[in-house]
Formats: sequence, C-alpha cells, structure tokens
Amino acid sequence: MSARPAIDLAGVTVRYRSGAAPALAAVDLAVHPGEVVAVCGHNGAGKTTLLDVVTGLHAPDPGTARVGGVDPRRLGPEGRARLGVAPADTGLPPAARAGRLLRHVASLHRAPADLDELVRRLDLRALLRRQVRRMSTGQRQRLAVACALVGRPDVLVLDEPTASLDAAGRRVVVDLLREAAGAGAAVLWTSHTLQDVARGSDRVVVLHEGRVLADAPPGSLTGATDVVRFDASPAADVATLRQALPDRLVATEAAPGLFEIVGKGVDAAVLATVATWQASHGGSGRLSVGPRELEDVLLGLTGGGAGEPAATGRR
Amino acid sequence: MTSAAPAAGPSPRGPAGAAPAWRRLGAAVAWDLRTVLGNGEQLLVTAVIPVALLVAVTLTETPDPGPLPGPAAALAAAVAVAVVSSSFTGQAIALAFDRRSGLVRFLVSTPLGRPGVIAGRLVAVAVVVAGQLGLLLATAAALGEPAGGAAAAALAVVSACAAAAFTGLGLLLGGTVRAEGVLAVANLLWLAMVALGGLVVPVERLPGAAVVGLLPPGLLGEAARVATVEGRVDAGACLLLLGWAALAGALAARWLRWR
Repeated sequence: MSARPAIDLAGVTVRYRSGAAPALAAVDLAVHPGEVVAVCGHNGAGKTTLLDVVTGLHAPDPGTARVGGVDPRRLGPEGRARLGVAPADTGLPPAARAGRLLRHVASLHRAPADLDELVRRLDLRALLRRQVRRMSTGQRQRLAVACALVGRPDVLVLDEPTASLDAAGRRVVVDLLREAAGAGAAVLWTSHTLQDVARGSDRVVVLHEGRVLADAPPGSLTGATDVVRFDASPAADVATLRQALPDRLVATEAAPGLFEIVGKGVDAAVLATVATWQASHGGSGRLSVGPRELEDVLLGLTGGGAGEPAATGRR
Repeated sequence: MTSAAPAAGPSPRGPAGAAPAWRRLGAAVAWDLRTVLGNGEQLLVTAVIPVALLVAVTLTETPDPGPLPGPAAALAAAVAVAVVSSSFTGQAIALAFDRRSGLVRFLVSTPLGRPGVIAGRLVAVAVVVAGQLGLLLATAAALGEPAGGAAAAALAVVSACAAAAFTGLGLLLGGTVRAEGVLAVANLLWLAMVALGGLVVPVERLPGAAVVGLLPPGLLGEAARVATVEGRVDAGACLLLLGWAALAGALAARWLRWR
C-alpha cells in the first residue's frame, strides 16, 4: 500500500442549508491505491453526499478533500480522466441510448478500455440500442458501472452500483472492482446493505446521520457473529432464556414480541434451547438465523438508538 | 487479466488520460446537436415555427400592409424568433432537464468538466443558429424574396451577437431553476418576446417602447430589421447585445448549479 491515499478526506462537514443538521459531520476517510472501501448506511446517511465531495460537486465546509493530492474541485481534464464515476441509477440521461452514452464517455478519453469486453462482462450487449428510460434499475446500474470503467480510472467512485442487481450481476460488479483495485485503482463504493459489500471490500465504513460510526474490515463488523430472530409473547421472561444459553450469546427483546440472540457459535443445541423456550413462551415456533446485517451493526454501534427499530425493515 | 481490465497502469492501449481538447469539444457538440435534432419539440421551435412564420407572413397578401411587415421585415422576424428559440428557449429547457436527469452532474466529473459542458453547448448553439440562418435565407429565396448579400452578412453578425446574449440568458435560467419551472417560464417568455418583445412587431409600435428597445428581444428585432431592410449592421444594438451576453454570462457563472 502506498504512503499517500488516492482519496483523502479530513474533517469533512457538509451542510445543505446553514443551520440545518449536517449531511456529513467531520468525516475522515482515506482510500489507498489498490484498496476497495465500501460506505454502508441507510438512505439519507450521507453516502451520496460523501461521493459528491470526492467528485468535487460539494465543497466541504469545514474540512479538506483530496483526490490524488488535489482538491477535486480543481481537477483538470487529466485529473478527471483518472476519476471514474458511476452515478446512482437515477443519474443517467433518460433519452440516451446505452451504446451512444458509452461511446460518448469513451470519446472523452485518450485510451479508453475495450468497450466490447466491458459490454460483454456487464452483459450489456442486448441493451446497447435501448434508451436509458426503458431499462430496468439493474440494467441502468450495470451501464453506470461501465461508464465509470470506460476511462480505465485509478480512482473509482460508485454510488450503489449493486443495489438492484441479482446475485450474478453483483458478482460481476464486485469482480470488476477487485480487478481494478488489483491493477492499482482506489475504489470507493456505497451500499445500503452490509452483506452486499462484505465480500468485495477491504474496509467498510459505516455511515449514520453523516457520521462515521465504524471504519473496519468487513469481517470484524459481520464477523462470525450470527443473529437468531424469533417471536414470543411480549415481555416474556427473557432472563430464563439467558440462563439456559451459553454466556457467549446475548438474548434480548428487540421489539415487543420480537426477540434476538446475538453472538458467535449458534449451533443445533442453541437452536433447540431457543425453540423449547419459544414454545413455552407463546411463540409461533418460527425462527430465523442469519449473519449480522447493517441494522445489527448500527444497533451495536449506537447502543440501540439508531435508525429504525431492529425489528422492522428487513423481514 | 485481459486488455479490457478496467485498470490503471501500463496497457497495450497506451496510458489512460483525457482525449485532446478538440476531440472532447467535438464529442460534446455532437452530443448536443444530436439531442436537438433527435427531439421533435426542439425541431419544432428551432426550424418549423420560424420557417412557417416566414412563409405565412411573406405570402399573406394585403392591399395595405398595415401592421404586417413586408418580405424583408418578415425575414428579420423569422430570424429573430429562430435565434431566440434555439439559443434561449431550447438551451434553458435542455440544460434544466439535463441537470434534473443527472447528465450534467455526471459529465462534469468526466474529462469534459464544467468548461467543456458549457463550451459544447455554446458551439452547438452557434452551429444550430448558422443552420437556421441558412434555412431561412434559402426559404426566402425560394419564396422569390431573396435577401441581398449585404443583408445576409449583416443578419449573420446580428444573429451571432444575439445568440451570445440569449444563450447566456438561457444558461442562467436553465442552470438555476428546476426543470418544470424552466419549462413554464421559458415558453412563456418566448411567447411574450414574440408578442410584446419586439421580435416580430417593430418596437416603436409596442407599449413601453423606450424600455423594450433596450432589452435583448427588442435589440435583436430592431437590429434584424435594420439588417434586412437597410442591409447594414446596427452596431449600437450589437454592442448592447454583447453587453447583455457579458452580464448573463457573469451571472450564470456565479449561480449556475450542476444538479
């Protein structure tokens, strides 16, 4: 990893209106060449604003932003040529045809990437003559990723490139980002789900209400930690369940009638214990086990006060 | 890794970087021109309406011309309406919707950048205005009322000065107000300029002539009539139009929003 970050934000604060709550509050973030960093947060957490600071659309006040050592608002044509931006799916011109848009962006670069190969990898062949407005959200996202990669950039900025993609599409995009990083690019991308970015990213930055709550390898956020969710009578005596479980697991009532166990090593014995307790405390008998998601991480980081209640939004 | 690798670093395709400035500008102009030519409403206001105006006014036979202008003044009116349609109404609406769609926001992050986005639009407007002028001069000739060489040259100079002023005003409107508002205001202003601004009707017959004569549509309408009827450039009007261009350009540079 080189000494100087390709993207370097220090104390970045952005307010859309003076006096309003900041969209970004004193954000520090560095992305080095060869690194893939994901910014994860809810809608409205400040992800797009953060990318806008990197691409020079917003000036931090106060704070400093540097891309390749230069204030992104002062990047010249050569500097912008090294910056590849994938706008959110709503950020492409609706009347433009995909092929024309790609060729237009390519024509702004001296030595663009092989368009045929890019089109093949992102499965855009059948869409080249289609207008953006007639494309699905996932198709627009793949086109946006292609637009970002056309100039063979060494700083890549992508706004929710995988939000509406199927598993195969996500894999292709993540592979392309990893390849770019493998060739020395610094990659910064956003997502509103933690699972989405866990596979392809070296670091995950958790953004909430404009603040960085965590900046860590994805494994340390999701870890081997599991979450078991199940229902039972509201205010059922969860203490009895705690006593029946190993100490490494923590059982709580996340919302009235909705219970969670968080910890490492959820095995068959644990699930049997939970099922028995659930049956004797008015539960339906249904339970789900999954890796931790953004909500769980946010809950852990904010002490439960963050965003939506844990019991909603993902079931 | 294949040659398609979206990668920095050495590649058989040569080092990554921006295309030369002339190629970037050419690409931006071509993009904007295709947008105009591929858009029915834009074609209607840039070409069909001015030509229809010229044909209708030229062919209308009245024993006493009264308020209707003669053929030379008809050409002046058609050119004035055409210039306003493409450089003001068309630019304002196109920029507003390109801002809303996110295209402008995307393009300013490419090697094109803010200067390239604006330069591309200015050159595209110049090309469109030149095309309109050619089309209208040809139509006038086909109607048996050809403009003389001096009149055509003077019209070209006036059109260039007016296009500068109206493009500046168009970018100012399209770059600061949201798209639906721009659509309403730009079309309303077009109507007002045609009916009351002096584009078609000589300024002296309009209410508030002293003021109207100093506003961009009044200056354009009068200078275009001087060009077609007298075959000379109204230098004073052209200078005032360039003053409007400088003012609008300065305000647009200050207030234009990219999203």
